[in-house]
Amino acid sequence: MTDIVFLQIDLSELSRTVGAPAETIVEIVEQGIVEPKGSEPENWQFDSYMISMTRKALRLHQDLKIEWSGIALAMNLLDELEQLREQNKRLQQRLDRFLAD
Amino acid sequence: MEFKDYYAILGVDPDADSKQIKTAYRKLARKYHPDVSDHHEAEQKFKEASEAYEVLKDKQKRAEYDEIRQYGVHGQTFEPPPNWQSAHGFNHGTHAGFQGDFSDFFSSIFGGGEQAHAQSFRRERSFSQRGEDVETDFPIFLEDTLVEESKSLSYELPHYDNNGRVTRVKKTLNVKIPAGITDGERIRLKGQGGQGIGDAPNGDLYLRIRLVPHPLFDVEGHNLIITVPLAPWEAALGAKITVPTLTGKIQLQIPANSQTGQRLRIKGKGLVGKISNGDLYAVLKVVMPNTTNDSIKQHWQQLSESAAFDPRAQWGETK
Repeated sequence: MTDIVFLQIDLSELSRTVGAPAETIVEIVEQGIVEPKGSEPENWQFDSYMISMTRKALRLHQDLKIEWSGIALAMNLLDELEQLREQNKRLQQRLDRFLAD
Repeated sequence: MEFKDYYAILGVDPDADSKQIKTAYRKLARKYHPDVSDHHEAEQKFKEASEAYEVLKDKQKRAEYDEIRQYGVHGQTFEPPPNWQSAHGFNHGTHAGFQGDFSDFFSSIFGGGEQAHAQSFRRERSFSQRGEDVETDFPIFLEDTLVEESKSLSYELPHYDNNGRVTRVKKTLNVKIPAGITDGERIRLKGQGGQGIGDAPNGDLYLRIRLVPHPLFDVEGHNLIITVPLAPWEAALGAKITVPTLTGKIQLQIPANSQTGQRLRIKGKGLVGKISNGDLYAVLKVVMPNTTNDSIKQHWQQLSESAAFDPRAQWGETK
């Protein structure tokens, strides 16, 4: 049996996990793309959602050659888009229950 | 092996200059990047475009490809001409192990892959040598979020054999899912990702929770919504009806003079929350009976005469 661990990792472990130098991660945090707990880099804590966001930012940076500030914007918009798609799906489903028989 | 027309993939003419090729690639990359696009073939299309660009951006590779291209038609079976040997391919022994993302067609001409993905992958691996992290969706039924449940999870991991070939290996785990987990939540299973190389640790497995759509209940935060069909007389007179919840049936009192769209709250019958449980909302929907007969028609007739009801009163005088 594998228990789920809601893990928090620090900067150096995140750096190792995503295979990117710490300076790059500091840049990502300074752009507000990922917002770790803790005020100073030494005590930053990242959860699994932040790890996933960091990976996404790295992929976009590398594959699409987007500047970090552009990535911050793109990821905000993508996030909003995803929320709207989800909401649209939910509302569509509810509408269908109302209309269809 | 299928022949790939890299010009067709990028949508450029065979005599396009490098600037046009770059622009075409960038447009496709933005359109089909798997992090950006929800196109069902996004990943495939992104890889194709990356592969095409990998070849066409490089003068020497492009020249070699142009030579090969005389022998092939896009999408049709293709074998490289006998004695074909790329001036490029065999100089890069180190990347032979990481050609997983490239088509056989590419590898047959240029040898192992040199694409951006493969490079980053290599960097990552040589940096730490730990196993690859794997992210996978984990579908969960609403019923299974109410109490802590053990669920069996099957997923695939990349496995590298001694020759560096990539195969997918299936793995099964039993995972304890805590009560109150929500859609989109990510959980990390340490050490359950790709195998580490040498003494290095395994990668981690990240599960992304996906609540499976329920045939009856819609989810809104921690609340659930159920659409309750009512006969016109139930809505008019009120009724005591039986309503399903996630944990069994309950009795619900419908007040007299209820309307379609009205919501009734059933406290605590929603999903399990971190602080308190959500509620179940019954949304009323008045439906007409499908069949009718003369006697029923007569009743409606009487009703229409005595009710003096104008459902379109709010339209005002539009005549």
